[in-house]
Amino acid sequence: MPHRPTDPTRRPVRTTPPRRTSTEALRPRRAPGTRRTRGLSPTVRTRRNRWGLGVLVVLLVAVATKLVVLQGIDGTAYAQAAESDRMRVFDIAAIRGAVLDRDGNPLAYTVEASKVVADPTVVEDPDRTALALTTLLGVPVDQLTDDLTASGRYSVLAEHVDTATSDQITALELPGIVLEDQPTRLYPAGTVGGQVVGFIGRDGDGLAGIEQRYDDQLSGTDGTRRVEVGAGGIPIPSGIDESTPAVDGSDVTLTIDEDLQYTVQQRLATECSNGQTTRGSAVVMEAHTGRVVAMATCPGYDPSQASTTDPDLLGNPAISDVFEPGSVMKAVTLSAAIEDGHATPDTVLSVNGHIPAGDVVVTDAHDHAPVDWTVTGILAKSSNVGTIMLAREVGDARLEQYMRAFGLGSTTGIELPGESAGILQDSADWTASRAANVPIGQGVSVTALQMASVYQTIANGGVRIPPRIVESTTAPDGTVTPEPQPEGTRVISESTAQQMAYMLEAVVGPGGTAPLGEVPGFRVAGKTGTAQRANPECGCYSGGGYFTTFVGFAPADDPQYVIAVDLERPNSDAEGGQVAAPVFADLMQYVLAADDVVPSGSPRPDFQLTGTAPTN
Amino acid sequence: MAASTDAPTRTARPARPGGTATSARAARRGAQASRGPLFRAPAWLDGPMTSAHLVLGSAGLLLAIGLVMVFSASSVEAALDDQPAWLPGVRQLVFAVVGVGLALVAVRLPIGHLRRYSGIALLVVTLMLLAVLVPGIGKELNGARQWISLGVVDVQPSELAKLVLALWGAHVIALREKWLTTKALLVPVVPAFLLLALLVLAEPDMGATVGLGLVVAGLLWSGGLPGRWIAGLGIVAVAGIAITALSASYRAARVFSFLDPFADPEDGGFQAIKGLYALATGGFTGVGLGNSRMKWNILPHAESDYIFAIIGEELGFLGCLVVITLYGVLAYAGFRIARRATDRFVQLASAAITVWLIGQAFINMGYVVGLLPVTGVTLPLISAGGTSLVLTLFIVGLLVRFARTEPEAIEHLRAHRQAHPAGRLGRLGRWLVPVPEQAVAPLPVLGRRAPTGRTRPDRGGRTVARVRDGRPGAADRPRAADRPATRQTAQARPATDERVPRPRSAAPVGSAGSRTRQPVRTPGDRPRRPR
Repeated sequence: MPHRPTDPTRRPVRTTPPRRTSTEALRPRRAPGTRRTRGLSPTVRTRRNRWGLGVLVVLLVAVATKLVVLQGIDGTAYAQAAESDRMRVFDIAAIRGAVLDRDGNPLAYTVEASKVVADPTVVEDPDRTALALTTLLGVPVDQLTDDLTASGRYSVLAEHVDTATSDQITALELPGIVLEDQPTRLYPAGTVGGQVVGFIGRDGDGLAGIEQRYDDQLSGTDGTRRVEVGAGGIPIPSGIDESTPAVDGSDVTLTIDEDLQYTVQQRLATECSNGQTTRGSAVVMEAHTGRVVAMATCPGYDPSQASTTDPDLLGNPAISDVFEPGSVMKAVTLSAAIEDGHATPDTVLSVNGHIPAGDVVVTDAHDHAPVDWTVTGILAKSSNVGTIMLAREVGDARLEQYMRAFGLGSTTGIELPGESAGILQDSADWTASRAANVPIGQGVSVTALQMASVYQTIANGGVRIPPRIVESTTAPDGTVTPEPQPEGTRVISESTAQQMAYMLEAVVGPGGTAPLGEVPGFRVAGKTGTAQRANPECGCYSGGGYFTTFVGFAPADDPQYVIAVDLERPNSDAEGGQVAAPVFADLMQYVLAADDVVPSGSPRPDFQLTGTAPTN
Repeated sequence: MAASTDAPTRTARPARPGGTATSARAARRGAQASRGPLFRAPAWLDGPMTSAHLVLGSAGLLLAIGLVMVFSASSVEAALDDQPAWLPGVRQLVFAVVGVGLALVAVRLPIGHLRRYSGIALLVVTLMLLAVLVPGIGKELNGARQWISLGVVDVQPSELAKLVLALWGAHVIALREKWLTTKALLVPVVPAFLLLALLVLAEPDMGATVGLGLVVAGLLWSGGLPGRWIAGLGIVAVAGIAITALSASYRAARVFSFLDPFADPEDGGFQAIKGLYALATGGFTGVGLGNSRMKWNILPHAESDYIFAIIGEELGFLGCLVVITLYGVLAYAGFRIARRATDRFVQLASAAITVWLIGQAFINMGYVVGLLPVTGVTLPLISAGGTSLVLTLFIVGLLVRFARTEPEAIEHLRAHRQAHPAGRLGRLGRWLVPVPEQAVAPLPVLGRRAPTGRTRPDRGGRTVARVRDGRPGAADRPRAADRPATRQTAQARPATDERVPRPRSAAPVGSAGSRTRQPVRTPGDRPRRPR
């Protein structure tokens, strides 16, 4: 202010006081009434007030300025860091699709379940917690206490806990106990269809059967949940809570019939428990479509117990194990001979009891003097020599051609993993003995499914339809996607097929090798097979026992079902007609009855098994 | 004062015709001379009761914001702790009600007695600060022995110490006003401060120490500590900070970790980072009241030390700006009282209190936004905390009391009482908020009993304030008849005649009514014998 110098209230300029000596210490500093100052002048006071307020305002403005930087300029970066700090991402497990039989009965499905996990650093009282959980989880207290006091922050207490139990655990509100989603796979049918359905591993990946082959469709896509949480993982109600829903897996509908599958397995189990049969496979197939309605091998396994089952059993031998089919192969050889015009069912051949082939001599089952058999007779009596004679007329290359056309030596393409192609050598590499063995089903290996497929071709008028086991897939939204049905390929003419069906009927007829394969009320066509089994100890045929087989279809006049039965009997010399044919008959009877197949309207024709061989 | 004296000269002067260079310069000088101060309050801020209204308005709004935000910030933690979600909010509300009651008491406290008892209060507070250090009496919480448990509530003597230091310091400095030297200014106040600070530091309570420092800074500043002392203290402070910073010790690293909290995100900088996160999440408009994420146990002390961060998160920059502005208004009001009051004690005390409150608010907001190291200083009127809130509201009441002793306010209040004798609350209202008798309160004498049997009660033999009414040297005391009605005279009045207006003094208070509007002179605080 301009008046300041003249302001009378201003404090006078301070003059240096006279220095006092120590003796003057008690004297008053100044004479009474001689004030040095009259207080702070109003001008100075006003200025002080103004500056004081100014400083405070400047400080507050500094805070506001910093806020502009924090909330405006740098705000986005900090806010994002804060958000990612609070964000937690949880997986939402997709429910794996079910595996259904052709009527929609579940063979495998998934339910919600939980894994009970403890964070030992948060658990307050391990002993009490263990006591509270022991009955619910069915785990001994000692083990729970150990788990609850384990080091680290993640200790699994129990797995696959059902929802009722997990709800009870949640209600207990035990600190440090966390439930994690752990969908559990159930196999309600147990061993029924187990080899077809397969199983999943601990991480939920399919490891066998349909579970493995259709893993992509079954597993679906896991979803995620992004949620903002406060300390302790509690979701903040007003915060971000975004979910990408899980896409559940598709259901897979098989062509398998659960009831039939059960019956097949029961019958095989009976066979496997008789002490002779170590392994028995059966395939039941629709004659006109190639759909497999039952497929089983004894012994089987329960997919829910897969982790504790002998790993050697965890396969599907009906498609993965090969055997030498033996005489059932003769149908292929004879089909080739008839199709190529080398013979008709009534062609009569003079068949010796043995025939030299290269360095070996092949005999019939029992050596005999030359007999004049018709071709039907050769098949009905299962004459090796007659078949070899016809095969020689067909020729090696042509025979191999037919065998491959029937699907031998290559996989069928069924929707199952681990399928074997069988073993079929190139005909150019056949030795003389091999060339004599192959037509009668030795020196060639097939799967049970391949053999069934061969007879399906004959039953279907010569058109082979590759076997299929999956009907359709059903998406979670209900969309049904049928599996593409493979095109049939004609292997033999319809007339040849009819002639073959006619001849195969003779096998179960009087004088045939398999009267036990008969089914009352139905005309049955089929063929026995008894093949030497290679002894795994020496790699030779001696002492290896036999593969006994029976493959056939019924009704012969209007084929509906094809059944292949194959029993591995290492310690027995029983023939296919004696052991495999009854199994076939039992299964065929059930299948036909279950499917309400009309019994054959006509009786089995009388067969001319012998004749007069033309002398030439 | 300056504003009003300059008011008539503000009118534009007529421009001189044919202005030369000299005349233009003269005109510029003249304009410069008549411009007055840099900031001039608008006319609507110039009312007689504006100070009180500003204090009540800003403090009331801050209290309301504080109650809402304490409830918002604490409910989640309480609920997660298996307590009723509203419990901390209701507790704060109860403290607020108690505080408002104390504020009403403060509004009618006789300033003279306040001054007289301040010395005793200082002794009591010192004893309390000593007592709190005794393990049996002091209650330890979070490693600090700051509370004395009184059963229902815990009392924090360090909060009380700040107020007592402010009142006592203002009293002592005001007493010596006429004889004040720098030494006299410093000597009783600063040693007392050092003693209290030492006791508070022993608890330890860093925040309260800072608060005591702020009180002393306010006192010394408005007491007139010479500029070179202030500069010297500033240099010492800066040097101290620099030496600490350069020493690179562990303690220094902790103190300066606020500059880069992300260097130690788990321990030292944890709270600071979460506070910055909360503010940044709020952005400009905030996430909405009650929607804070950080209060979900992420940000420690969300309802007390770091409530400003929750305000920033829920109400955004706008909410923060409102809070800062309200503190600004409170600061303005406090210094307005210090400027307009004629009582030297009121001037000093209101300045000290304002510096303390606003400084504390700045320190709290400063460390929340990352300008200052984190200390346990709470946000006045907003943070949760019993003693602090009750005491702050008491101080707000004191500020209102001080505001009502402004001479213009007294004059206005008297005129108002005369115009509306009954008032809305009648006698209760008068009893609750009486009109202050004098602009400069006399000091009562302690310990002397009033002799009985006198018609006119002896009021301690001390004089009332006398103010000039424009005539220099004419310091006539108002005659007894003209003297404002007091409690003592009210006894003499007939009890039957309640509705008769009390005799009112026509004497001007201070110089407010005088035409010349000379600066108010206080007659000095030394009590005089009646002539």
